[in-house]
Amino acid sequence: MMGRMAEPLTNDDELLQRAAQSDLSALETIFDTYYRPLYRYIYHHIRHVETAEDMTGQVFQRLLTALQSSSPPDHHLKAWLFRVAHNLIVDESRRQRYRDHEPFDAEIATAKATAGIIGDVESTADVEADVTRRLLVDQTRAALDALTPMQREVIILRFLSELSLEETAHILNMQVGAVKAMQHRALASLRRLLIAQESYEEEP
Amino acid sequence: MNENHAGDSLEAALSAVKAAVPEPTRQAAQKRAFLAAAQTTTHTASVDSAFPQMHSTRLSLRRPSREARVTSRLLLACATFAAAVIGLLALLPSLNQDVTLTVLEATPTNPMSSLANLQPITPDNAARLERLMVLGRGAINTLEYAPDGETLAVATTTGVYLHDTASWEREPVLLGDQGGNVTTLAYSDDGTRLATAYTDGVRVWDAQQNQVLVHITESLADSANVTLLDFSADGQTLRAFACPEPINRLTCDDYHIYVWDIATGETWLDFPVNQKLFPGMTPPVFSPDDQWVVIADAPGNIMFYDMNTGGVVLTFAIKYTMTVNDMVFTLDSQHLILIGAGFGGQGGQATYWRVQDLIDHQPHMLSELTPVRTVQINNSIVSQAAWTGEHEWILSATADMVTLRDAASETIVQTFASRITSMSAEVRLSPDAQTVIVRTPGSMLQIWDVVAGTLTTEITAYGSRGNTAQFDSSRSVMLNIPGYSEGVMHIWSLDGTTPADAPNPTTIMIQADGGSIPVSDAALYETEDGQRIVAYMGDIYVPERTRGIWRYNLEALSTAFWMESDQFTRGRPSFRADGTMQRLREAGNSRRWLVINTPVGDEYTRTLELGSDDALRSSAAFSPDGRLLVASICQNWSFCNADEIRIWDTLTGRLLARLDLKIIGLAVRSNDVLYFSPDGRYLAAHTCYRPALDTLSDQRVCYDGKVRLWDTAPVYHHLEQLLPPEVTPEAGSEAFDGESDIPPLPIDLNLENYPYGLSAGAFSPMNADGSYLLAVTDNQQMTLYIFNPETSETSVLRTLTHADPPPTFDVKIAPSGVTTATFSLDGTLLAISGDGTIQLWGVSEG
Repeated sequence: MMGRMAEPLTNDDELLQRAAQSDLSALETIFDTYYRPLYRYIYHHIRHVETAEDMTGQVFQRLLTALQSSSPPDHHLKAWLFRVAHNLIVDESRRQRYRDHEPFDAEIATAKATAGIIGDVESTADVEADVTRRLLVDQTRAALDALTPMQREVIILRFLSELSLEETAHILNMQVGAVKAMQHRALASLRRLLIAQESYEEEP
Repeated sequence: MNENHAGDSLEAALSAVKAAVPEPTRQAAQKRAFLAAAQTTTHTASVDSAFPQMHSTRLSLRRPSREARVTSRLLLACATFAAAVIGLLALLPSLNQDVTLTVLEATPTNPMSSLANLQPITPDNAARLERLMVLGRGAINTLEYAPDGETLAVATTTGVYLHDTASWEREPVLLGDQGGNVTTLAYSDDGTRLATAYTDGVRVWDAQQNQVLVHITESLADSANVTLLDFSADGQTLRAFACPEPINRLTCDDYHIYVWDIATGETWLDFPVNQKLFPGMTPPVFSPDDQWVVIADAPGNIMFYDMNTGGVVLTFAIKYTMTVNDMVFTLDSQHLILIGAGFGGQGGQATYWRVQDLIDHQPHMLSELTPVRTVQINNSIVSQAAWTGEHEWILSATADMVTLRDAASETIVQTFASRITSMSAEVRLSPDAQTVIVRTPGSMLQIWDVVAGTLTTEITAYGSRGNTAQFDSSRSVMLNIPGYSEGVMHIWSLDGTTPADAPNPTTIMIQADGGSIPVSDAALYETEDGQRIVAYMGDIYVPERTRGIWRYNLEALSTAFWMESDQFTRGRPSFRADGTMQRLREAGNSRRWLVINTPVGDEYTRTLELGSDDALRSSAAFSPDGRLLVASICQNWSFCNADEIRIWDTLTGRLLARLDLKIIGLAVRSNDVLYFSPDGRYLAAHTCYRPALDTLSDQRVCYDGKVRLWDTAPVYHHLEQLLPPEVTPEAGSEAFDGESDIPPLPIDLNLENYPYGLSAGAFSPMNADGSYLLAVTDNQQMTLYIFNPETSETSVLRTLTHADPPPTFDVKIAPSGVTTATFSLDGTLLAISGDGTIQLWGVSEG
């Protein structure tokens, strides 16, 4: 096995070192810093609030477990957490296929997500704007669904979760160049799909 | 939108999606649980410090009757309590530990003599087809201790099994020899009565004689779903929470509370109750003084109903904080305990509310009042308040740990590393507080000693609805995966050679990191020297060592080797005649597919790439000889409408055929719906038609749902003509390397239409007259067709329904129905699964 080159310590690295020493304040900082980004990342895939929350909790559970292991993570905390989340998402997708043939309740998920989007609207203009926004969200999500899984993953990591190319590459175990290429193709596909959707809807 | 504006619009579109994420509601609670778990990890000694008094003093049982029954409250709040999974995993060993394999000793089961002297199932004798044997006891719905603690009653999909708690190794007794799905049960306070809810009504039994005293059917439809039974304090009436006419297993728009007279079965009270969104997710609780029934729904509404009038007395909400995990009245009915129902971000608590305060104050939101007492639980997915005598306990479970707390001192008395790998399970404290029982999601029972904190027994003969089964080539062994989440495989000996006192089945547990690894599917192979090999496809719950192959024979079980960790594996792994194992997996960074060929007993040698187009596989299967890989193709996971089937050569990776279903308006439906006849000659697919615009609506609707068959002979013929992959065909060469000319249109079969799709199907081996039997099932029944390739004629041979044969066991387990069907290669047995058992059907000679 190749040895890893020494890397300068970042704030995250220090946090990890302290967390490995059971420093609760470090763990708290990690939780506060990464809970929402992880939740949002998972939600973009799962689109179900409670499940996304549960899975976010599992990411931190894995962190605790990993910190107790013989080879705890000591670098790239953010990428490590997102990678665990990524694995859990894949895991969850697989589990859904075996759960007693009960379909995921997309309607409920959509309703809850919609409630989150629309909120309490009052004026007609608000309603129109919100409906338009909701349609845009639906269209974009449908287009995202039409991408290949890895293209979708890159879009979510790069543009919805705002991770860097390097972080995305680390999470997906790819070269940075490959991520760039994937991102380029994904954006092109997404743009094409959105244009196609719009054209379809504009037909009489 | 045009290209010029596309960039801006794309940015706007992504921004809109980015903004459309609802706020999480449980961050604070999860944080609290996370930090508590971290603290627990670093202060294990303090957990132990609460323990010594348990060593020195056995707990006394002062009021074993009703109090024990109060322990019955069990709640699982699956998607609600994220803190659930956080915590005590950290106590477990590291992820880097090896996966271990355990072979459990099982109780000897019935001898297999009834499987001797069978005839192959043919059209001529299909009328004599009968159920010969049922392996396993079904899937557990719930369980209860008798008040004296001497009996554990387990309600399953096949009846109620009574375990002698003094001797767990003894085979349990089937209550009254009465089969059928039992959704819930309850003991009376004095233990003399046992009430059970079957799909055909509620029965009250003499608990000593195991005889039915009264069968209550009034007010309930045949398919009524009774989710809670409870005896009144005086034992004169039975209260129930039920959906008299459920829409399906999860949906009901009309829940009722019933009160029946036990002596006559007459209905004394029947009133509807209001539950929204997820009714029945949290069973109601009756107050010990018979005055109230309290109901909670998933959005967090709690309603008090007057048991005398059926009227709503009080409604308040704990909305958007946390779902109630459990509700229990104190023994004097003065306080209501809500477990896991914190508010304002206060998660993981048992909060005590004075009932009179609630009634007097009539709060709109629970946060308007202050609980009289709060006990921190940290986290739980399953929780239970239990009394032994006047002593109050709180039992809570995370994904991997069960914790017993003394409610009075709020100290942890004992923890149990229960290895539950999913978010649904049950926990029970015995009336003497000496034993904790944990039910895992796949229906394994773990018996824990409270004082020692150790696992004493695991009972594994229960299953789950996701049972799978496959015969070995000689029909002497059956491989059974009783539940996806269990990490358990059963190997049943069917040939009667197993000594009567030997375990049957042999239970294999695959564990790592102190927990079990879920097993999604497995394949069985028999070498020439009789050694059996099991290849299992694990989950990625543990990121390493999740796929493996076990060598297995009746004497020993050992690891052959591990395969690398990866993400998805489609379909069941396959063995070729030379012992090579192969499986289909998806590459991690594209939609490429890979077939991995693995000589058994060695490292895997070859990864075969099948292509890198935009296709997704919704289901896949290998031909029996392993030479062909077939998969259905779709483009979108969210609304997968697989409108193409592709066939590849597994030796070269070459695409051999495309069956374009679009031209006939069909799509392959669901997963695991591709299968071959045992000789590989015919490929079957469960198909349906869904209009394109219908994909966003109810995906269950399936127009023209049928089984379609294709003759694979052209594909094999094509294979014979193919050049080796390294040879480039010359111009004019007779050999070709394109796709085969297999007709895309299926054989026109005269099968029935299944509007809601098919759940399982199986081919028999070819009969002497060249025909095949085809067993297919939807949610209602299993139909046996005869298919004659010479004439392409198909006709119904036999229909097996839940009433066939009456009345012991159901084929139909609504609504999921039969999930697995398979013929043995000698054609003598048809195995059906769907209720947690494996039913073996066959025709006896004579």
